[in-house]
Amino acid sequence: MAVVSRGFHGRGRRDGRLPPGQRDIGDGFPVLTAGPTPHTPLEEWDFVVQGEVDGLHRWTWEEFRALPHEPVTVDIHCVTSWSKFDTHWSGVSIDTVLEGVETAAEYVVAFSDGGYTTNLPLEDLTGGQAWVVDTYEDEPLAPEHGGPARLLVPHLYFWKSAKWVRGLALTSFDEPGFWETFGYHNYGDPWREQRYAGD
Amino acid sequence: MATTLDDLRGLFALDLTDAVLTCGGCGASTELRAHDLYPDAPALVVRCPSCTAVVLRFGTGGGRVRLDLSGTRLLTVTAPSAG
Repeated sequence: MAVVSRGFHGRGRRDGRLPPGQRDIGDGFPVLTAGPTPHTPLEEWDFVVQGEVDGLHRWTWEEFRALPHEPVTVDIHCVTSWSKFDTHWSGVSIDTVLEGVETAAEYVVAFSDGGYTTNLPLEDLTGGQAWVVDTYEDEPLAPEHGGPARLLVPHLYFWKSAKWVRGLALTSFDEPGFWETFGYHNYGDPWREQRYAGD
Repeated sequence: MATTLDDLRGLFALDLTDAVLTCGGCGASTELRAHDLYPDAPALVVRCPSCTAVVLRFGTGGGRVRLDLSGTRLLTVTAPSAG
């Protein structure tokens, strides 16, 4: 299923697509990183669903590439106040990743090469709201933007869209991730301007 | 003489850019300025040059100052009187 947001024709804030406190970055795509860019060879790359699930679910790069991909066009919103309209990605829906996974978990910790983590409610990753993407603007996702694959959860601030993602750990308990343990908001809804804890 | 919380005032009045941080991960002791700095993240992230572990995070957003030293085992700063 293709997910296509409303068309953007330079109307910016006026058509209600710019959350409060954000500015349109236009053609720019800033690279914000909290550590060195990993360069994991694809033959060593895998993606796993683990934790409180019915056994480990694992895909090699070739297996992941063979999963059904879908095009995604969405606006993205960084907590540092830039937003970018109509970004084009291709990836695997988390609904597809979790097909056949039995779990009673309510939370997820996405984890990445380099040690980055971010936490989300499981219900925010399902229902066509989140993907593991490996393609940006019809090109393989560049390492500086999280390639070979990153999480994409566009309805939350972009720190939730973990770069270099390698798996999801499903848990019964909410475990704050890298920025969430540093005073950033646990949920991160840009439309409610949830940048910091207490917002 | 007992050390009290009031003494923390003196600590944070010091220039921490001259501090030596001992990494909680690998134990390497390195001057703060010689660490790997990532200033373009939402906050400043400082990593150990020996093992790349995060030793310090510092942010000033949202009207608050945040300092996380959980990755630092020991922070050593020269006392003003010794300078």
